[in-house]
Amino acid sequence: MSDPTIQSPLGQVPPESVNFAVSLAEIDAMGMKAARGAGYSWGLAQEAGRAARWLAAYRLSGPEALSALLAAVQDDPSAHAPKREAGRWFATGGTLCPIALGASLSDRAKAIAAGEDVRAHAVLYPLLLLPFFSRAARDLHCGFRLEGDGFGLLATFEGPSCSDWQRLGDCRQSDLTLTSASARAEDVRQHGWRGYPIAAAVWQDLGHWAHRTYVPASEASRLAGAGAGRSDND
Amino acid sequence: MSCDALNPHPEARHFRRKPEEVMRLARLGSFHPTRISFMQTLLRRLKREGWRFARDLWQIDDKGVGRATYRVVGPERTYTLVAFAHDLPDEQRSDRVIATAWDATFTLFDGIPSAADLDRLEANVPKQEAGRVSDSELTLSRANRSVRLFAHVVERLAAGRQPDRAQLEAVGYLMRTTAVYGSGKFGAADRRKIAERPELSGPFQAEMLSVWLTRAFTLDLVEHLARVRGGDAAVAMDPELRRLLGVGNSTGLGMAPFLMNHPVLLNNWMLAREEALARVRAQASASASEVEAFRQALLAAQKNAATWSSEHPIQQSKLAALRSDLAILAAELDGELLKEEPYPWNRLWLWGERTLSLEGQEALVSLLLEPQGDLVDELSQCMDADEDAAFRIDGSMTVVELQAILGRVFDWAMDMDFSWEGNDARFWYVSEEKLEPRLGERHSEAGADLEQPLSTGRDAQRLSRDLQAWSDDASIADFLLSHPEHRHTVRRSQIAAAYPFSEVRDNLISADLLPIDLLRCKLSFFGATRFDPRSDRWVRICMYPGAPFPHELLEPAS
Repeated sequence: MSDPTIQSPLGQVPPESVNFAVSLAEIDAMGMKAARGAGYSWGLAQEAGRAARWLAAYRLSGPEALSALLAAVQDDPSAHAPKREAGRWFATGGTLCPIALGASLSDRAKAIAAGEDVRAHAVLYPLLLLPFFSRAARDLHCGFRLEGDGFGLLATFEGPSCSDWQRLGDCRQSDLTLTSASARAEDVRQHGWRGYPIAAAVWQDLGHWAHRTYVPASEASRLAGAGAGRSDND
Repeated sequence: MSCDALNPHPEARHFRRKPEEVMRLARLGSFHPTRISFMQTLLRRLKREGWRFARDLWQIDDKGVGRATYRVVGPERTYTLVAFAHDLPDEQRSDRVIATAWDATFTLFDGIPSAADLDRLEANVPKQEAGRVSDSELTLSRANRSVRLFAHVVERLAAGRQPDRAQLEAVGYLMRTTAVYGSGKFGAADRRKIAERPELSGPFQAEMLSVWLTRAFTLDLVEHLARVRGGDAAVAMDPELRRLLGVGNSTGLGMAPFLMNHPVLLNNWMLAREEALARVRAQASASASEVEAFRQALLAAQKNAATWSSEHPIQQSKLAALRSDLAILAAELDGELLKEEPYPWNRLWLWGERTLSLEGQEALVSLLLEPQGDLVDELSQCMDADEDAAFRIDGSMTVVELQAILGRVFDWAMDMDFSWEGNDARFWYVSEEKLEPRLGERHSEAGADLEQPLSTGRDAQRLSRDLQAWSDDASIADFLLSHPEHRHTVRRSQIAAAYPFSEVRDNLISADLLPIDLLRCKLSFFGATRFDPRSDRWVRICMYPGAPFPHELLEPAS
């Protein structure tokens, strides 16, 4: 679970640096708060933070994609929430949110692994889907294949591989098909733990969304909310 | 990880307490440290594995300003505490997390820092939250002096005299930390970096190592300043008096939501402790040496309870009950209690459940574990958690299955009237000012629309009521497609089904909530003692009092 006590260096980005590094835990916490600030339910906001963290661990541009997604859904994620009709997934607002779609597909992972076909229309930033079916592949010890506009992804319990990581990372919107896969992945991408270098502007954009989840202090809450107010020297 | 793989004691299963009995705030708020608490586990490992120690750097001037490093060397890896000492005007000394300056600041470096590392750290560590560390650092922390005791000790040692024992015991520490950050905070290394290292895979081991070395620094600093003042007349502190001192800690609400935000971790801590108790209760007999070790532990607990003081009315009455309980227990031990077999420890436990207050019962847990290292110490290895493995929701679960879980885990909340103000009096939020968790009054303060997802019982009731409109065999995947607002509660519930000790079984937004109960539970797992609440949501503790110092426990490092 994300730890809300993990603070984010909002406003404390070193002024001289365009890029600096944030920890995976910071990405998780910031991603969750930013998605919540942009109007997602808490449960989906948790998924957003987890997804951004997962991608950053693989040195994939999850935080950047999440920031772009939040700008794209413009405060109204419910318009981009998934609907399902006869194996076809779409959103009434036109484009589909990959966080909400990823969560729903993850929820149905057993059925998809058993052969249920998935076709999704106009999915925003499909990179953000990868953590969902990679985690499902790991948990269920199976594989999934995702085909999009100019890229093919394979996620198995061993990890993810992709025909064109660059193209996937750059993709803003694509129709997708998701199927069960039994093939072994080749060139599986490896994850790490290092701090993730990120452009200060992206981190600040996420911080602006996250800021909406904070409650401004009043003098009364400053004293009562933390429970101090008496001298703490001795 | 789960304890099951390590568990060669199936007979203990019958002696386990039930989650609905244990996971109550009043009981969690009565916990005491045990031998599988994190500080105790750390020191046992350092000793067992023959770790070595050196203070490599001491550049502290006559005003007590400068830097120092403390290095511990293990079988595979080396860690260094980097300490910065500051000259802090009295009026800036505050334990609140909103403070911006401290008497000393610290970081635990992964390895041996270079001169360039030290310069980089000196530019950032003293700023704490306003600075940035890197993934070479494992913790970030700070401490303030106990002004009264620090001055007393400097004065006495400078004059060639030892400090007053009663004053040392009354305060218990020269410095208290006001925050010890780890696990990726402020740019520090992510937990994943150290999760596979045996010495740091247990919970909070990096933080506990950092605090143990900080304790050595506080004693070195006070003796340094005594030498500055007293010159040749100054003396070092008597080793026995030195040992009395720990590191203080001042902890506010920021720590409380941790337990709810890490349900799998909480379960694993609780399960290890409960399994340890069950294993002891399942012993068919008690050896003479075990009984003697139990008596010694009881004597130590009585001594600790005698010097443990608090100004807070709640803790004062709990302390009175504890002292009385321990006295009753001591008197009972002189009788036949442990002489009857089989299962003498279980008889003692059942007697305690009937006779003692919650404080006394939970103190008895710690006492029962103390003589049984061979039986319970291995359980400290199963207190970490792979939280990601429990994160994914199983949408193939049916509505009726989820309702059954809710009825089992949140039965206490299903009929609670949350429209009554007393039952939804509070809300948890994150403050804009310090980005720290806070507790607000829902019916008199603004901000409840921004509450954190910690209203567990109320949210479980709402989920259950919305589920009632769905057919029993509908899938949770379909339900969540229509109700994304319940996703966090569905996740909690599925985790609780697999991890029975993951949920606190009380209303966390009640007017009666005492957040210090949550703080004490967590701090007892750290191994902290002398819980001294300063309000219903802020507590002082002491860490490592009586423990050996690095130069005492470990051989010198070259």
